[in-house]
Amino acid sequence: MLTALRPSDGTARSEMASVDQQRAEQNLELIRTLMERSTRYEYLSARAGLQVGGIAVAGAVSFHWLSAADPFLFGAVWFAVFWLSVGVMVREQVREVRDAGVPLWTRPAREIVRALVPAMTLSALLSLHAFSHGRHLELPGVWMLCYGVGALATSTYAPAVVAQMGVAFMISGAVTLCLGPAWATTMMGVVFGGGHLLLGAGLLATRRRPLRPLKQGAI
Amino acid sequence: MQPLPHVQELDSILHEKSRLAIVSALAATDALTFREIRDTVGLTDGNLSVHLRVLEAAGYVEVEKTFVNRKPQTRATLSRTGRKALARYVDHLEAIVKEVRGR
Repeated sequence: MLTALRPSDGTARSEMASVDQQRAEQNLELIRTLMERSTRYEYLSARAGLQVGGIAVAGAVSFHWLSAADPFLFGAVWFAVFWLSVGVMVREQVREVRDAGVPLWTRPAREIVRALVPAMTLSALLSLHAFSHGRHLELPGVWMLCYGVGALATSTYAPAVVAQMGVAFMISGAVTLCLGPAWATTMMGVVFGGGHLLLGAGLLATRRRPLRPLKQGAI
Repeated sequence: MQPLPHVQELDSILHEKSRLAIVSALAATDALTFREIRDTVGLTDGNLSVHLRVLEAAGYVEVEKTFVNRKPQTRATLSRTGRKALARYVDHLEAIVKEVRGR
């Protein structure tokens, strides 16, 4: 049997080398996959998505009675929507990680917050500029673009759906800027409201689904 | 026939896919809970416990048992020794790939 497997030492050695190389490549791939997977933040709250979506829709609907042209009213409504949304998000995230029995302030969570800071800061600065120059109705498009950039910046650590949402927000932001001030509040309701409602529904549909199995034979 | 020299040098503790997966997952984070490792790596509780014990005995992993909200929680971190061992293991794998490609 052994002699049958040994037509020449050279051939056998080269076959063995090829097996070793294959195994080495598989193990390197396994290391890469596991390192990526363990840095992902997997505890996005579906409830937070739905509630934030609802709050944004309510904010947009309020302009049925309020005048969006009034910078004070416009600013007050969206300021309230923003901070209410942040509060809801924090509360639901805390609940989500507690239910999962994992710590809240993990490295991926910290990295996500850090990745969001530049876009949020830019958004705040542009808001100040727009309000001081009477161009507040252009802000919805700017906010969408900044939010989209922020979501994309978290893509190393956040689930893939967040990056997809980032792209969608950036496209929507560009469309909103093109549509002009008349569409500002409607687009806020559709994009921020609808976007988060969709995200929440998507997370609900996929929640607790086990992670995609590693390539067959990986473990 | 002798195996390739680099294969002989491979760390036998890490050259087991479940343990390699655990160490790789830990390498990218500060610490992971038992549950996080289990969900990331896809092992059963029993298998994970066995492999964690082997890694702890080798000094590659430090395991800490605490209570969070009155529930017991096991957290594992990759030790300095474990991190060095993984780096060495990756170097060896890369050397094997390079060597075979260079033939």
